Amino acid sequence: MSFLTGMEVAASGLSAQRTRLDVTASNLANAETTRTAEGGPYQRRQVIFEARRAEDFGRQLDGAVRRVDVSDIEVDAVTPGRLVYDPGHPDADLEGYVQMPNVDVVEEMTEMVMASRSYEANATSFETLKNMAQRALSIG
Amino acid sequence: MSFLNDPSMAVLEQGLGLSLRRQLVINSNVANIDTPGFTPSDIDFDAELQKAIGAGRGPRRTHHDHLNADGARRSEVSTFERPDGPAGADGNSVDLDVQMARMSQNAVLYQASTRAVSKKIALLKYAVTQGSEA
Repeated sequence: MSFLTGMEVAASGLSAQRTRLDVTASNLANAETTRTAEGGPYQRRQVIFEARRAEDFGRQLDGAVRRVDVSDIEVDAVTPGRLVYDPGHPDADLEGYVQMPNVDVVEEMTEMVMASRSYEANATSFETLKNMAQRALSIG
Repeated sequence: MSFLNDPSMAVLEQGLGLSLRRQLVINSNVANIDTPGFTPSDIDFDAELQKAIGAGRGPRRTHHDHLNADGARRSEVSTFERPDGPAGADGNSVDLDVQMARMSQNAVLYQASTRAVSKKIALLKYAVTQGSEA
């Protein structure tokens, strides 16, 4: 079922980009969060994509048809958070500095636009495949 | 040579199959547009069509349960890795513009082939229904 496999591949792209969008939204929402269940300020998360063979076509097309999966949602513990001088803040340290999340709003907005464009591209490839299937059905 | 196993019909049929496969490969490239280290693939449509037509000159299958060259031939479509340009920092070399352009080009080709098949069938219909009245 070539058409169905192709649609499954496009759907995997849609779902991966949606996850990326969700994670970006979470980063943006928590750009000012100084308290988390794990303790300390919020740490930004990032989605890791991985290409996986689409079952039916892995063999037939030399493995050139591959779906995409979110292999991991990683917590970025490397990028340092901002230090803001705000002595009145309940989470301020003895010197009056507050440890803020390592979320860069500009970076997250860019990420959001990119995810949205990639989502659209996958929707288009799904649409193209659907149109092809409809044309095949209307032969005759 | 009868109307239905007209060689141009066989070429169109092979062409449709190849277009669909190429679309699947492009689909997969688009899905992996943000996958680190991913290199896009492609199918050489013309070369594969030549190969399929050449192979089609062998024994022809007359019954769908018979063993035939057709199934084997279809699985022999070869793909090759074709970066759209230099890979980015994440090792991904998919260019969305290139893929989208290739996708619409391929879709138009598919549309043209389905239309040609329909026209051939319309001719047959004409011969069956109107032939005696002409």
